[in-house]
Amino acid sequence: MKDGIIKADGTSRLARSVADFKTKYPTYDDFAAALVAGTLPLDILFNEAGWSQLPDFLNQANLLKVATAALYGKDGTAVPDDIFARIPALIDTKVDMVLLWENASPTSDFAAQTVSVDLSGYDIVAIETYTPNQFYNVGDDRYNLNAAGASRLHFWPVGSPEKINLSDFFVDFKATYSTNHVCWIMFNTRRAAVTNTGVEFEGNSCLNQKANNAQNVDFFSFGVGANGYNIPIKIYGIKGVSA
Amino acid sequence: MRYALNLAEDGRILSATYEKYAPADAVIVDTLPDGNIADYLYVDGAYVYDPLPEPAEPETPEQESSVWDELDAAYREGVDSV
Repeated sequence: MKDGIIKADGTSRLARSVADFKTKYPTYDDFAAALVAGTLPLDILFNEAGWSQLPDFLNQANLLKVATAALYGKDGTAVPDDIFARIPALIDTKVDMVLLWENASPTSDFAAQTVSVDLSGYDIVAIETYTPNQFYNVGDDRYNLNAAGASRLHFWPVGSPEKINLSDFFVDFKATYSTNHVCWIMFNTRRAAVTNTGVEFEGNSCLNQKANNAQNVDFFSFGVGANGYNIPIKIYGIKGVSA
Repeated sequence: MRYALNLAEDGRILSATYEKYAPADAVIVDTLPDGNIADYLYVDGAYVYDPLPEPAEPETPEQESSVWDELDAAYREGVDSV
């Protein structure tokens, strides 16, 4: 905001009174009496010519634009204090994340199904999925897909016409056990539609590639219905609330 | 602790949750079967062990020479990749 700077030559303001000033106040005593009584009519005028830098004025455009007031649900009659009064409520806004469903048997196969959950009143759903640890025997060596055995959290808008893609991806490479060199890749994907009344899960599709060059064994598996992987274990509802 | 079952039309257990998360029309039980609950039906208030058949293992594509063979040979010869 720009301050005004007067030229300091006595011209920054002008005074104007009524046209019959001399009739109403013919003597100095009449003028002084009206001034003391607070009845002397007078306009103090802004005289641009008496300023070396014009100030920003305290008007609506500079203090609170109508468009800015509208962002806070206020109209053009609002004053800055109306906006200041809204700030504490905005600062106290928080996000509620509520557990609405939990899988009571999280290591069991999870086929295509609809899980009934009341998601009305929630903006976002969060779905936690879990892929159990995987093991693979090559000769006398036992390999562990270390990256598996972990859960992942996926977020999606409630009521979205698109389906959420619940995917996980694990990769591991080992070349240190005896003569075996193993590369193991697993990719799971399970889609789901999220409505106000629940989550419609599809079955899991799995690309599971384990390659062991030392024994010249290459094999791939690609299965729709590999429901022992990528298992939904928790469903949360998320919404913003004001304290 | 009690559980709510999500059942398929034939009684196959699709999943289970805890009673506090159960929808209004859920089947409530006191215990769950051991192991993979998807291997069980829930019929007339009792569990029936009826595992689904294992999915067939996909056939390994036959290859005269795999990329892994070539990588293995390179590894054994000490060839660095660029």
